Amino acid sequence: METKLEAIVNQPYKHGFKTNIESDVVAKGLNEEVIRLISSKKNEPDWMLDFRIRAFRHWLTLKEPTWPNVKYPKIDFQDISYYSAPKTKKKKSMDEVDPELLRTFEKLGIPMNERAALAGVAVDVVFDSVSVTTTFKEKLAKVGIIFCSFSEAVKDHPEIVKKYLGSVVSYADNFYAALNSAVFSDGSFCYIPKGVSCPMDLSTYFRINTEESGQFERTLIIAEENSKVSYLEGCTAPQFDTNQLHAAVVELVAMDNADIKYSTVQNWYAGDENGKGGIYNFVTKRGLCKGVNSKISWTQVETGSAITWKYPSCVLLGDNSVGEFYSVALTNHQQQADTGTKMIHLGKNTRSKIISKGISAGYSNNSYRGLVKVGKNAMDARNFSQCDSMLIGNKNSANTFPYIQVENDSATVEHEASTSKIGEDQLFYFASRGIDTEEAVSMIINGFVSDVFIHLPMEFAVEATKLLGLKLEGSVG
Amino acid sequence: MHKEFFQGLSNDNTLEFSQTEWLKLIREEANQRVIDLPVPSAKDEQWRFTDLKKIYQKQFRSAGKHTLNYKDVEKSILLESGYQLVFVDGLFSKQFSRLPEPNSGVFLGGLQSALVNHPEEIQATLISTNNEKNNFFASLNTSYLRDVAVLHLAPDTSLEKPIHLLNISTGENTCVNPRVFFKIGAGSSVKVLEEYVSIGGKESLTNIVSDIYLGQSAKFSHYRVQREDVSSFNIAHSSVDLQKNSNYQFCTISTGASISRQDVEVVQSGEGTTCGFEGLAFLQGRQVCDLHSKIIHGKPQGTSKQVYKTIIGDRAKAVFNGQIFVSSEGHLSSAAQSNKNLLLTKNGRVDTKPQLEIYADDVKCAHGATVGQLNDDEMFYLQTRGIPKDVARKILIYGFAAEVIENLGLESLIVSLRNEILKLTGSPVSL
Amino acid sequence: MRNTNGGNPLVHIDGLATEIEGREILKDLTLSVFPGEIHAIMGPNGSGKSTFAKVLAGHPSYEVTKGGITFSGIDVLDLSPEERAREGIFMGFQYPVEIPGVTNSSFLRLAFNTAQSARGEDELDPIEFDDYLQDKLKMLEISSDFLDRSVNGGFSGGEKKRNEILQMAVLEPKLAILDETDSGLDIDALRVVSQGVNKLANNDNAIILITHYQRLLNYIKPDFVHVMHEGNIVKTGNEKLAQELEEKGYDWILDET
Repeated sequence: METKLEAIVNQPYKHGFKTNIESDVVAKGLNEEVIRLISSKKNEPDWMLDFRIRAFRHWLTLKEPTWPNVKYPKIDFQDISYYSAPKTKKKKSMDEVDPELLRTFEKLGIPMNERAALAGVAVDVVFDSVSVTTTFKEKLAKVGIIFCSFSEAVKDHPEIVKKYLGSVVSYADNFYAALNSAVFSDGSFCYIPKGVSCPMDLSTYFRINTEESGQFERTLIIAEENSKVSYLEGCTAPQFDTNQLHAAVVELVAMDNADIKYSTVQNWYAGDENGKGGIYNFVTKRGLCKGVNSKISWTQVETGSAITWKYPSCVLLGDNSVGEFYSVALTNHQQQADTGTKMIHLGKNTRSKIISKGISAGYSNNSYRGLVKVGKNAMDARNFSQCDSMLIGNKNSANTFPYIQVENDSATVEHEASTSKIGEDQLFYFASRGIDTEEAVSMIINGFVSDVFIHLPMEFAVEATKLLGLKLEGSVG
Repeated sequence: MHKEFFQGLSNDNTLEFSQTEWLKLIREEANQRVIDLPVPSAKDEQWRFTDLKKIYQKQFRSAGKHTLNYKDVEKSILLESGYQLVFVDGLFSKQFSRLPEPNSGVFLGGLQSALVNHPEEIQATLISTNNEKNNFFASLNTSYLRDVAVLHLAPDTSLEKPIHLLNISTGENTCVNPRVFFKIGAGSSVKVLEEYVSIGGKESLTNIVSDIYLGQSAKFSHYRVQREDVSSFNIAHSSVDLQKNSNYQFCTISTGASISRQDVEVVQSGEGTTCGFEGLAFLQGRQVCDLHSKIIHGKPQGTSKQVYKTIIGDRAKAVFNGQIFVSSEGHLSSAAQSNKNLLLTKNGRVDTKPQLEIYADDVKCAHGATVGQLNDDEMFYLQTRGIPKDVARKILIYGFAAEVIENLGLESLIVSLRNEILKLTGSPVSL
Repeated sequence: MRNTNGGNPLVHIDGLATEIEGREILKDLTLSVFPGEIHAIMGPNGSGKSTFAKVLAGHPSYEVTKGGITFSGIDVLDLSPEERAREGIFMGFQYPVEIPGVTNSSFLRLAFNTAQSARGEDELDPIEFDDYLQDKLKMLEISSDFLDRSVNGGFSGGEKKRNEILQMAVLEPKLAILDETDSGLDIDALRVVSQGVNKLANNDNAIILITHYQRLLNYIKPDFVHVMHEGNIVKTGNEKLAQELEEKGYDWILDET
């Protein structure tokens, strides 16, 4: 039974190819000169450079955090290249984009051609350090939505960027946020004006291609009063024996009655079965429910990366605001994941909900870590958390670390967690109905994660189901 | 930094008999660690939510001679107890104790006679705790050790009547370091009430270290009740080792002390062991009560069930950090943990962190934690029976506590805790 | 019929509308109940039956947006649940709550004595109260070990419902609203509970039965049967209406209206 299960979960990584494209790579190492160089390569205004320099100087005073339940050799921050870009200028029309790049993304299933685009999804594509193209830009502009690369936003909408950059995740927030603030290269920017409900899902697709580079992108989404947006994020990387660092920052701001839904399918290269190579995914994601009745909902499907360490969070400042976190984290082989969320209740009558499903196979280590905090003035705050783990094989671990801090007597906070395995009884039941082990496992896992998958947008749900299937399908031994 | 608080203690001549070489040595080593180790602070993850500043600001001294007579002590003795072992300010009191006959298979007493009766085991246990090099308060305990409460039960010895280990604090601004050693032989069974009370004691620090060992198939019901004066401080550190098929039922009740902190580690080091862990803290004023528990499922087929409840009034604070750890050898373990906090006031506070760490796949583990108020539907139900809101509230608070208290299995303890909780809640009805 | 229609209604509900969290549940509901009457309120799930019971008893979550409730001539809308209880309104719960650590007997005595002192009458001491209670137990054929257990703690569904009837017997309300008292009962338990209700019914009190099924009405004969739909009473009849509902379901009435 064990071997069957193991065979099922041990599937090769399908996005591990490297694109042969000439890149402009900044030499390894990090100092103020490198930061100035990145900034000048991007023709940035002074205020942007100032921000980077301040962040860098602060970063120098910080120590690498050691509290997560993950183990890895010390990262040499001088042995990373902090900027890598394909040597092609960003083109106005899709036809001018380097055909090699186009082929890469087509291979990944991300069509950059608008005619062939995923139905109703606008895509910003980030290749190593820069955004290479953004689809449906004009169409979105007609309703006043700004959707572009972060670099373009710095140029074209400096007043908005200035106002919100670092307003949710300050550069002093943590070690990797400071590093990102100093060296971030590109990312996506999205502004939904008052009263606009975004007519299509917006999406960013991240691809790390260069072996020595780190990826440090920044995403900023602002939803003005009464607006609504659904945002999707996907990530892959080629297979290298070395580890690449991915330290992104995502900031979301929701004003009165605004609604932001942020979905991630993370499938960075996880390393081989012996734990060689793979991405270190150390990401700071946080949303601020600034306005009354605002809502931010995170959904994540984490299947990749050698180490995942992230806590998409909600600061519930506006009265009646709502935060949600739905997560599936699948780890296999030597993968390590320490992920969860923080729900900070500050406003009155705020609500939050956490549903987390962890699946660990192989020798992997999968931890849920979450904080629910109810501040002194957060009258009538409510939280419900449910964290379930499933173990496949007996060399792995599943951990649950919820922190609950309550300073208000009108709060109600409930946390539940359970751990289980796929039982032989279950498999036997399926077998007796003529269903083989492979299908049974996939049905059980699909059932296990269904509470989360129903919160994914349609296109993504299909992709995520396929992805879990990829990790689980194969020969039954 | 912060080390003035125990400087007034003397660790010479605190033993009332001449000590052996090994004892002298471990005490000297412990004393060195007390000097070297930093005191726990909010920077340590293990102490994040419990601020010990109030302790560090004090100047404690060693306890002098007490002036109690039996009349003072008598009313604190558990009615149904078979034997009683009384310690006053950390020192064994023969005068107040009621001990079994020698050679009955039951040894109960202080360090001096234990060293005569069970020298190897006493030495082994004191040295093994001494090996916990990094624990400041455990080291402080060893360094200023005056006595040890010892229960040693030979194999296949069962006691019907419970044993009462009563620790009385009488001094002001004193620091006492009680030490507890329970060894329950294979196949034996016993109930022990370990209790901490103040009779005249104020603003004192009680710093306890306990070592508990259950042999194969032993059964031990252990009740720890801490109701010291609300100006005092109570820090306790216990290690419990469970051998094959043994059954340990622990219940901890805290109503006293200004700051109380308990670290309990239960290791299931044999197959098929059972651990029940219940607890209740009833907090008022500015009381802080912190329970750190760790249950280690180290061998197959262990079960554990933990239910910890707190009631927080005024500006009090409850902290819970409960870890369930299933090692890769802990197959077929079953663990359930529940932490329920009833937060009654605006300025009360709860920090809870239940944790599951699972390294074996064939296990059933679940935990839950809630922070909340009284249930609206329950309030409504009582109100529709004509019971005024404030009374209904008291009844429900009492009911919340009663779930732990009424299961204690020691009738007179149930009655006295019931009365205490009733007095605290003002509930007009009970069982 | 035991109607004494000549006098004033015991309870008069006039154009009542209520909301919970902004959702309207009851809409313009009007009903008068006279002493000595038994009314049955039936209706599909979600029609507002249970809300009606809770609003009569004064549940704080429901906001009355229109209309009023007069009970024994006084406006009870501003009264708290406990004040209404002392006026003589009793609600039997569909899901009675469990209260660990509090015995049934001490709970009943507290409820009884609170009512006594509200009426300006003497409270009973435990021994007097026990005599009083024993009579009630005998009447309802309930064994006295019921009293030593904690309120509803570990009770079966049937035991909980019998306990509700016992509380009703002890408190002697003028108006009892029994919310799905028959749900979850097997046939024997249903008979015992119904007999209890019949014994407690008299010319001075009134009973409102809220039920899903006609089954209960085989045991307790209602004077009126009301059908509730979308927060209002859409049809009123007698026992025959209940039988018709049992045979044909609710759809024909909903079509009719």
